[in-house]
Amino acid sequence: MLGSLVRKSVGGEKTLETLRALELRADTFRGLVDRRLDAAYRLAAVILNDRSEAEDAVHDAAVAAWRRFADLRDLARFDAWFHRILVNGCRDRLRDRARGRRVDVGRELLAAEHPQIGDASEATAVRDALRRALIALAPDDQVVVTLRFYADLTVPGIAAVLRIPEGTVKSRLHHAMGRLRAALEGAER
Amino acid sequence: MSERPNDPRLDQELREVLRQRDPGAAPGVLRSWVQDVPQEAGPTRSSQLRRPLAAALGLAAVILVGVIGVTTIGHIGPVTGPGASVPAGSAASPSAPASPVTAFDPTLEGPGVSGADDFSPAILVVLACVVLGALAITIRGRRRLLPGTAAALLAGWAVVGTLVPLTVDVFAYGPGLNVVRAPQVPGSEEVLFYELAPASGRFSVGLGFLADGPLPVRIEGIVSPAFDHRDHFIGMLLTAVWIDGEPNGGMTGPIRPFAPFEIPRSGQSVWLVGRAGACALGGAFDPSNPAAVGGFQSIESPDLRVSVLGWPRTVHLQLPFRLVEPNPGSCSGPTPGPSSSPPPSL
Repeated sequence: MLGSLVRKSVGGEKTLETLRALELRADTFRGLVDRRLDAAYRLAAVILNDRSEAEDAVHDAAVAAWRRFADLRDLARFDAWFHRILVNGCRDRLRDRARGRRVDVGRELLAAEHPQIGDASEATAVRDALRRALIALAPDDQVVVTLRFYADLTVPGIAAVLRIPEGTVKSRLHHAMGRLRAALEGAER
Repeated sequence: MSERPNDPRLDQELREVLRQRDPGAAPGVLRSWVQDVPQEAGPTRSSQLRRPLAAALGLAAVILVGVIGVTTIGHIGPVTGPGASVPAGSAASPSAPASPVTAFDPTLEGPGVSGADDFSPAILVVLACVVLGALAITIRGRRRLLPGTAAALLAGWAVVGTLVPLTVDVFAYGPGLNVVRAPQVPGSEEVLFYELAPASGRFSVGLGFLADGPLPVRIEGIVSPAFDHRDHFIGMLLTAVWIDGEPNGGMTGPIRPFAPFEIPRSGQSVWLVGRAGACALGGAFDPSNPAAVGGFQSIESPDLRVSVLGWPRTVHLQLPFRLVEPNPGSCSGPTPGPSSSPPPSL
């Protein structure tokens, strides 16, 4: 099957050796992605807060990674490379979502600042407030917070994944934590 | 983040909120989709070809930039100062530009005049920009900044070199060998020089150049279309340019063969050397009785080949005088000169 697809894509003049090399490359790719799949899916789901969209994000990341797989010179860097593709894909999805749901986000922000009285316990109220405040954050801030507090990445690690300066990571974290702290303190009152 | 008293709680609650989002292991369907990616997506052509394409484009870009460099390096090379004087009396061929042992000899042909205009690097620059742009698209990451920057620099150089305003004026002039100034006609402002060299003899006139523009202007030579056919051309013809070494732009310094030079702020004088036409009257002409000859041939104002920041351009040089050569009117030579006119009204 792979052979026929390869022939279709490159003009049908591939030698047997080339086909074998491509099949070997595909097998290598499958192995590398499979090893990362659970962690990738979990991270995507945490960033996006949507399991179905997380599946799409991981699949899209796998497709993008496969198309650029031939450019990857060092297989030891696959994990970091795939991680970067996935996180950037999730960030783009959050941005799209934010653009399409601007009104809802504003409403969620209001709700985060004024938690509902009917919450069963303080802990539940606090977490509800945090959930809403987290969703109301800017997409880039959500990604940074998730990488810091879920993936336990350091500031340099986050900067490396997102390819942004460390100062930008610190600034985004500071801004996001301020919003989350305000939501937490509001829920505790 | 950790200096606030409630930050540990925020840290803990935030981690808990995020942990609650964690769905656990990937579903089997996703694993199946991902395993099928190599079959369904297929290795794209661009992925397979990108590396050799980038290498080919990079090589082409290097070659093009190299060719541009070689073709323009002569325009931005070291400039011989106008004060580089020449020991007088030591005769040598002026075919060696700026030779320190060559003395002025207006009877010799020399450098400074060319027949055809130089090849413009514009097409090479456009090609190089296209190749560099394609290279920037082909490669990934911050490395693409390199060809992008190179293309921007090349384009900027071409735009500045082409569009920067410049003029070259003649601020001084005078007759040289075998040239005399005609008596000024009352009421006329035209300055007339008679070229009185014998047939196919040499003549010279002096010119002082002054450049006006925001960037230094380098004189590369004089363009004379007839120069390419000088062996068969029998009219009046410019054959060489010599540089006057007087530092303040005057015409009394030591003279050396032409080599490209930047026009200093104080100006720079040169001597245009020419060959008289095959039908020239020479000394037989009486300037006090110009109507006694058959006709006059005049030399047209030439074009100057200059460069700005190494970018070659051509500007028209408007001579402030009219140089004419008297001839008997009928001549047994094979062709007439570039323009022939009746005697000037004196």
